Amino acid sequence: MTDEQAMYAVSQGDLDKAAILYERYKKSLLNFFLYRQNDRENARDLTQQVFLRMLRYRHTYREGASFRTWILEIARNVFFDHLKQNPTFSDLTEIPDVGESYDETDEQHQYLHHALAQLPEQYREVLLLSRFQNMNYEEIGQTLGLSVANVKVRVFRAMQKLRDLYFNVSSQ
Amino acid sequence: MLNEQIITDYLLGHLSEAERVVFEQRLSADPVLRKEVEELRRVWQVLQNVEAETDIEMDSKFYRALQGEKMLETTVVAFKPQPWQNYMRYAAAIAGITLTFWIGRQTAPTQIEYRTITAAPPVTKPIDSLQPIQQQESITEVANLADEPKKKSKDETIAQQIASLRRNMKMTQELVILGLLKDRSASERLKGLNYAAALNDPKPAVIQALIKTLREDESLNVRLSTIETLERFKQTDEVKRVLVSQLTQTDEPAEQTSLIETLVRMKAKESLPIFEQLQKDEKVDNSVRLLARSGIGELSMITE
Repeated sequence: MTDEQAMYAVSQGDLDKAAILYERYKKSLLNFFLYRQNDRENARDLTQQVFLRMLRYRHTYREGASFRTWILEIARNVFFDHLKQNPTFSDLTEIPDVGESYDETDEQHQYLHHALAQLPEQYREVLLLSRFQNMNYEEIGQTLGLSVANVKVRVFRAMQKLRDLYFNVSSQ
Repeated sequence: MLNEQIITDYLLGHLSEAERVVFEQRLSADPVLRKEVEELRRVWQVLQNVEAETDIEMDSKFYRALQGEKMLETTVVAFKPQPWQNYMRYAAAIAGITLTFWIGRQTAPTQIEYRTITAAPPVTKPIDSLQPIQQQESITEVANLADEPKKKSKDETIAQQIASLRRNMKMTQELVILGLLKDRSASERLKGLNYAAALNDPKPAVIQALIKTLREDESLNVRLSTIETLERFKQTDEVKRVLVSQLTQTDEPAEQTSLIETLVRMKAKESLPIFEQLQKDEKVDNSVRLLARSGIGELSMITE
């Protein structure tokens, strides 16, 4: 069953299908939030809010619309609402606690997080959409209101900037 | 295609086989480009390697919320966007002005009629002038008799007008409440809730607006006040289910407490499974767990 079929079923009242979507998207959304702010607890709450909104606004889902784009729109709104209420969380200053399974001595992860923390928001977002949401150019463009060519350019510049920051941090 | 677009496609694996071969030939011939691409690839790979895992607590919260939503699905609670509601505030203002004008038009002549009817002169004439008075009285009586059906119908009209006024007033009140509940300011929404609490038998639209407020309002105080307001009205199964559903979705101990107390007062037996979940959940505030336990006791007694 595709995401779109599952979401359409949910919008028609078959709520059990929401579990399929939750299982498919919980990890990518958690990571999407985790690398945009610094707190696992917050990332978990924000992920939870996305799925609650998915259930509440299920009637607004239109048959055939890309589910990934739709849920990401909700995720971005949840994140912006969160920033409005907690402006201090927009700064990434600490290494996120990514859970018990994570080896905290992993230097690569620390460098990457520091580098991501310093990346301008528009670059960070485009990378996270591509990496954690597995979005293609069209979907990213649709989500951010950019043309495919501009998405590619932005991904490239984001990678360049991240590379500079990453090697700068790791050489210190 | 620009260099930067090709490099992005290459790194993300979006080039066709033929394009990839051509690009790799370019890389082998251009050491500067090769170095850049290698560095970018390294960073991209690091980004691929970091991923946090979800946990059981997150899952249990979602499945609890889903359970609550499934309970709600049996009721006809459609949260479809209703664009006409955006104009409620303006409609309320226009209705208010129209009503004031209408009251002005309707009440002015009525008062004049009352004065004419009630201003009967006292009888203090001397005896010798009795005859003319009697004649005068009989004339008045005839006039009064002739006026009787007219007066009666006027009374009925006035009663109808008052009833109509009351209906209009209620409608205006409800429109104002709906407008206030959508206000950006939490204190205005609280004001709307206070007005709503004063209504006797609110229309379904008001109940739906209250339900929406309970489910979506970001302010805890507003949600707590909404719970109290909903409890005042007819405690339908729909309202009970909405409260149970909200209990599955909130993490705020104050809201959980208020919901449990309200559901126990409403004797909502359908909340028992949720109370049991809360009571067992170690992440839930202790006072809430205790309250859930006592709620289970009270509701079980009602069942028996």
